[in-house]
Amino acid sequence: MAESKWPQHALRVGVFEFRRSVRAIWQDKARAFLMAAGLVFPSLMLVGFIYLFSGAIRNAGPVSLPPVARGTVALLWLFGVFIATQRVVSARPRIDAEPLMLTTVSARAVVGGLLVAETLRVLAYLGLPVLVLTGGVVYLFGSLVSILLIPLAAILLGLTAVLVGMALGYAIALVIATSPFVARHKTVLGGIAVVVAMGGYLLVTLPQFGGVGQEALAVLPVGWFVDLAVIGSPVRGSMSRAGVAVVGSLLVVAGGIVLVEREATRLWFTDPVSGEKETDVAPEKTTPEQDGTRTALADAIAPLGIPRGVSQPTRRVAQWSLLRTRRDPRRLNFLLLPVVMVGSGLFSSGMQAASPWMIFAPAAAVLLPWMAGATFAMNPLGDEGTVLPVTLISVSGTAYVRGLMLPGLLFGIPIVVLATGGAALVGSFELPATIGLVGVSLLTTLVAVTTAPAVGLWFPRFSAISIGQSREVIPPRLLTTAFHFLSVTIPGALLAILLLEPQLARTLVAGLIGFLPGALLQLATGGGSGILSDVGTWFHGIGTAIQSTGTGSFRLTAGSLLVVGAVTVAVLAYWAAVRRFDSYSPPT
Amino acid sequence: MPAIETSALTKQYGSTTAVDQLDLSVPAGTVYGFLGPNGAGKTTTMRMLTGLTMPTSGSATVADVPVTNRDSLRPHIGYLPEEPPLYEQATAYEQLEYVAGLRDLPERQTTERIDELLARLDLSPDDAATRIADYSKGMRQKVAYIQAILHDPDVAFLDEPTSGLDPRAARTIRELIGEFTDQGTTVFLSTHILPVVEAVADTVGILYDGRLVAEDAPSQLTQRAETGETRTLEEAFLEITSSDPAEDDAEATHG
Repeated sequence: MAESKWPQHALRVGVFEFRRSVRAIWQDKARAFLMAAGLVFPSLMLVGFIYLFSGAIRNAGPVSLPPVARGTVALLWLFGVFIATQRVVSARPRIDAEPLMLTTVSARAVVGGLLVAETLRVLAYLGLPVLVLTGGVVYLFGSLVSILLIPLAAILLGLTAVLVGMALGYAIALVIATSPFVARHKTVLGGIAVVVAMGGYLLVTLPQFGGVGQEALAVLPVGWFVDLAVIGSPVRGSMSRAGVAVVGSLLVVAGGIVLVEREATRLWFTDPVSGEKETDVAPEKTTPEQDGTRTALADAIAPLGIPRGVSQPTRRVAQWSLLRTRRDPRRLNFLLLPVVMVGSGLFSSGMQAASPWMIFAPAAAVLLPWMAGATFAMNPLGDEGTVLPVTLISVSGTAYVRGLMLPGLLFGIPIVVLATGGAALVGSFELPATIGLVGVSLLTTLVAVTTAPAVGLWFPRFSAISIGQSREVIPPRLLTTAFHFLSVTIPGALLAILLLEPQLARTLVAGLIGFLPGALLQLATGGGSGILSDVGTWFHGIGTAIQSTGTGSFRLTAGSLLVVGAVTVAVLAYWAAVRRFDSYSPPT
Repeated sequence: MPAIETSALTKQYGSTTAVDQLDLSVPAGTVYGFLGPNGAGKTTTMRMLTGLTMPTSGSATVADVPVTNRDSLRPHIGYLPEEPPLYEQATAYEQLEYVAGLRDLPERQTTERIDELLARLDLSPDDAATRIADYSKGMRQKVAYIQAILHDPDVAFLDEPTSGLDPRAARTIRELIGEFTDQGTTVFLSTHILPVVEAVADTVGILYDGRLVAEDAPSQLTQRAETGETRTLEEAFLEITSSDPAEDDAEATHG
């Protein structure tokens, strides 16, 4: 039974949780900057758009709300549900300091608090764009009712998406907590769910893929929030749909709170089944082998294995690195961000190209090597957790760094070579181009695998606040990931383009090194004269010189520079990582 | 030859002096009880002696190796920090095998030694094949302890080794500490459980506000010099650490 003041308690819990999130983001300045930029930049673009086209928009006259607008809002709502569900299942099935909270306030107050916190997080993302949009509509059309209705539509959209996501998330978490089969295979099942969700997303965002467009989602009432938002503007929506959106939202909120409270209460007070026992070292394996040795680590990573010819310290670091990744795949969430960002664009380009494999093969030669490097060593010191002091006083930097690199080389290279070579063959590349692409993939893997420990060791992350209560899961810094991703994929992509389309590579290099800075400097001086203008002319000359170089000469020179540079970077990165480990003082 | 020797060892964090001009000399094969109130600088001292933190000034050697030379220091030391340094996702077997592998210990002898130490600390093979995430605090402490001494270090740095242990396990740890010193191992022991120090330490040093304010055999520390009256180590500790070192300095200067 909930206490009489549970709404106040829920509000207090929610605001406190939200403030903790803000503080956690604020502590990681790079992340805070990127998030702020992600909010401010689109809002500024919206302001610019409204300002520049205000006359044309005002004169456009009344228009009907197109189905694609409803479909887009429905897609946004579904995306919100997906994120909220994923957050509950993987990161926040329970509140932090659970014993304290559940012995202090009712479960309903805690559930309400989590709902308030999550809604505030969503509104923090939507707040500025919604404010700008509301201001724009009032400015353009003098529609005072929009001051109320646009924010109301945004709040209802955010609240219902969070609530439905939480209901789904707690239902899934409950199944994981009560079904040994699901608990044991939750990683695989979760992976399938993500692939299905991504497939659905691609289906509606890329009509050429499945013939289903976003307008198909317009039939879902969750897209009808836009009918509420456009009331008072010249865009003609449907009043009945707007009414359904409001009434439906109130019903979802009322029913959702009751449902989530029941699910969460059952989850929090249920003894979860363990899916781990059967994946543990089986009792018969715990007895030593005939030669007197036990192989607990080797058994645990089977069928993968590290050759016994490798020195024992290096082998153990490699084995543990593999085992940690297998048992805690949540730590690999950070890989998804660049893959989804770049991958969806590449997929889209591939679908529009004459043969998708023309894009997929070079993409595999560049992206997969990055994953091979980043999977095992992007935050090695943070991954060590409390064991870090013991590791530092137990193993040399050489053995440790080699151990971190080994899984990426042993298992990454075959996958990268097979995927790149296979895609190139399916894409009907000529044999020299196929061999060249495989060579690019090998070189890029070497760079990715050697630079990941160096970057990870120099910029460790020890805080896990952003992963909810999972203190043992510490993702690398966003900036570290971005830096490693760009420094591996940009030269790798350039090498691949140089191989397949040398003229395009030459144009790109001439543009980036010569014409672009030249043009920017000319713009800055307003076409006048002076030192800056002279420098701009000099840059332009460089661009012209590169562009006038013969294709064969350019390919040979640039290719040699990139290959020599890659090998040099790999060697220097290895030594930098070893030196960093050997001289590292863990934080107190 | 002293197993641990420090000379004017100092560590500063900005304007804060965590350890101030520490002079220690711990003979090999003895147990040195290192006491002090919270924030006195005990952990910082242990981190400096294990090479995890570089001193701001002064020098220190452990097993005759300068602590600034971490590569050479590594084989000689074992360290049990206050928080058991374990991987939640590993089993005890995996964790111990991993750390033994890092130290490149012979695999067959390691297996035997792990089994022997696990049995000694009442951890069954089933316990050892269970993930550490499911362990109680005491079980974690036992595994972390085995991990620190697995390679028979010359000097073992133990920070609260009996924390969270039941009386039987705590006694076993005390017995093991005695056996180490019989074999020539030096134990640098930091704990707030003063009866443990009283029982096993040959010498006790008390650190207060970063400075070593008392050092003697436990039996000497418990003797009140003026009256000859015997007190407990706890009473001696409270008495020694109740005064303000700054005032003591002033008195010494003016007195």
